[in-house]
Amino acid sequence: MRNVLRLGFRLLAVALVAGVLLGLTDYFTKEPIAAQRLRLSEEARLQAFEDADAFQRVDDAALSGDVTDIYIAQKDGQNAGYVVSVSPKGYGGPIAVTVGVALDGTVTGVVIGTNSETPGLGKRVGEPAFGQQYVGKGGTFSLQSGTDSAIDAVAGATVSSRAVTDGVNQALSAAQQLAQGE
Amino acid sequence: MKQNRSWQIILNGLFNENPTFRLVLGMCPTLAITTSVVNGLGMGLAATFVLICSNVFISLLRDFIPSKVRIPAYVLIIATFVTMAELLLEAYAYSLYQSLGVFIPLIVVNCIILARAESFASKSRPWPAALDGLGMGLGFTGALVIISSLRELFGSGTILGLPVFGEAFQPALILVAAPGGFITLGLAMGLINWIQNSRKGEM
Repeated sequence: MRNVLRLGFRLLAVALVAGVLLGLTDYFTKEPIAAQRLRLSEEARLQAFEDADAFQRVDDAALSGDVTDIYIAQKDGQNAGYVVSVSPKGYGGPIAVTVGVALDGTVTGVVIGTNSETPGLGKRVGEPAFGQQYVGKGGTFSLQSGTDSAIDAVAGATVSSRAVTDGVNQALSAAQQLAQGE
Repeated sequence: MKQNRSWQIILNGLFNENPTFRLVLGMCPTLAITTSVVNGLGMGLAATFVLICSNVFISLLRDFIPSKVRIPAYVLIIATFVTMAELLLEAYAYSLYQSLGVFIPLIVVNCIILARAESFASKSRPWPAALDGLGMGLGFTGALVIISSLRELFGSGTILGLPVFGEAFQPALILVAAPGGFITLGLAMGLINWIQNSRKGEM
């Protein structure tokens, strides 16, 4: 009995130190990490909509499906389009996708952010060549060949490619809804 | 400690007890991430870093941790260390985090680290434990680079992302997919065992 207590207390001591260390690290890194993420999402918006010079968050947007955030892209004070953040479910959890949509409903850019896709396979949807396929097109994208809005999936990563395509489609319809509402 | 023995510990991890080819540890990350040389190198170096640190910590605590509860204690130490490394990297070394970030959570489940804690660090002083971490880490990195170069070269026709063959080359996509990982690992392991066995035969 005494031995069990001794073992338990030793383990408790290790766990306690580990917990305190983790707590302290989290406390000190929370702000820099939040700042990093904010900077990163701003950069992603600018990459997705290169023509814009300012972004205004739509605070009261009705978010549906995987859409997490909608911004109005502005140029010289005029509405130039929308930037929609979506996080469709990929092979290894949600994939952060930032989609720029012009006023005419075509895609201006697709930027892949944080994701847990398999390195070397699913992660390759983040390569510029894949995202570039959407640019300048509108309508409903699909992985099926033969249509104007066909997207070539990354080889061996159909699930990830489908997730991004699905996310872009959702972003397009979210932007369309917002445009019609105005 | 003698110079000689230090080298012996490092070389042991690189060759005689290479974690991938001889101890056959850490197969899951090996198969998963060796699709390109950059990934192999990144995973290897990140694991080396964690191995050295966890080995030193566990060696320092070897008299404090009772053997009956050593496994939960080790897992706790390793997981704490990996999480702290991840948070610190994300906060203060973002570019490094971007290239290594995906591998860091995978390191927690890398059994090389637990295996070295159990079989070496818990019985050694901190300095040899650190050397063992370095040797094992470099051995792991080397093995990952060998496997990932083969898979990247024949699976996508590139090395470090640069095309090697001409336009006409049709990459064997299977090598980049999961079965290719098993095939390459098996062949590489067989080749290395064959070389070592035939050497022994000569002596």
